[in-house]
Amino acid sequence: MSDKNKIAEENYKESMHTPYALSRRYGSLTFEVAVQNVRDALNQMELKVVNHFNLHDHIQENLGKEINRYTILGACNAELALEALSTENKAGIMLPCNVIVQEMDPEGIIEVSVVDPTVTFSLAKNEKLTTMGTKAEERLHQILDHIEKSNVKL
Amino acid sequence: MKFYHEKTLKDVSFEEAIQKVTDALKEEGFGILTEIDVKETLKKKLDEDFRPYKILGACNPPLAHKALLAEDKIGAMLPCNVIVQQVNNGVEVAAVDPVASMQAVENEGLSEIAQEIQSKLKSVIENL
Repeated sequence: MSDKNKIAEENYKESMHTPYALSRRYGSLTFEVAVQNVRDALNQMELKVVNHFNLHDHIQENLGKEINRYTILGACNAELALEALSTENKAGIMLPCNVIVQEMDPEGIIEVSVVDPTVTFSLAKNEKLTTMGTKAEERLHQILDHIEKSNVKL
Repeated sequence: MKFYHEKTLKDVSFEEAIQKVTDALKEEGFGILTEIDVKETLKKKLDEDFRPYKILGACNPPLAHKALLAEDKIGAMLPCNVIVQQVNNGVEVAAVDPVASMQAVENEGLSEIAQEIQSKLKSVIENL
């Protein structure tokens, strides 16, 4: 195992505990490939990327400050979104579900974090909506298993 | 805790409401970074007729930067959403309450920033 992969694995364990997101680190991907693989993995789970927010460029352009590369992808499944909006008309406040891709210091390790919609949807204190959040979470969190795999060339 | 602050605007069209929200956000230093037209998306994907409904993703760069320094995965909660929807008696605008949503993050360093954003978003709603 390369050092990079070792780091990726150690950090993966360390970063699992965020209460609002699930994260995993990858040692074998460039930033661009990671973003593309996240898109592909979301697609496979029938989650469409509905918006793309480059936080790095936004901070740089507006404040002239340098941060690590950082992109926020907003993912949504139309059926689930309609169900959520029919249950709670302000559910749009929690949509779409975000996946962030960021470059870590100093090894070029890429971290992908997926929001936990059970947590964000539970804000509405509507049991039906929280259950839908869990449904979305199951789909969403699976992508972490497919981000590296799709890059492996056999 | 309510997770949003809202107001219903009377005697305005949906488009006028969007323009008012955009201007009010700008006044408080927020740009609109993302926009999802829910009605159009649901029509296209599911052939479902939905009321006019847009999700605007607003971001105040200095505050976003501060939040990011306090919590590197905060992007999972960004941008701050403001939703605009047609309701029976007008156009309803609701902005997320970041104090409520940031509670889930369990980071004390964020609470001051969340309060600052909350007061700005509240002003946006009040000024409509």
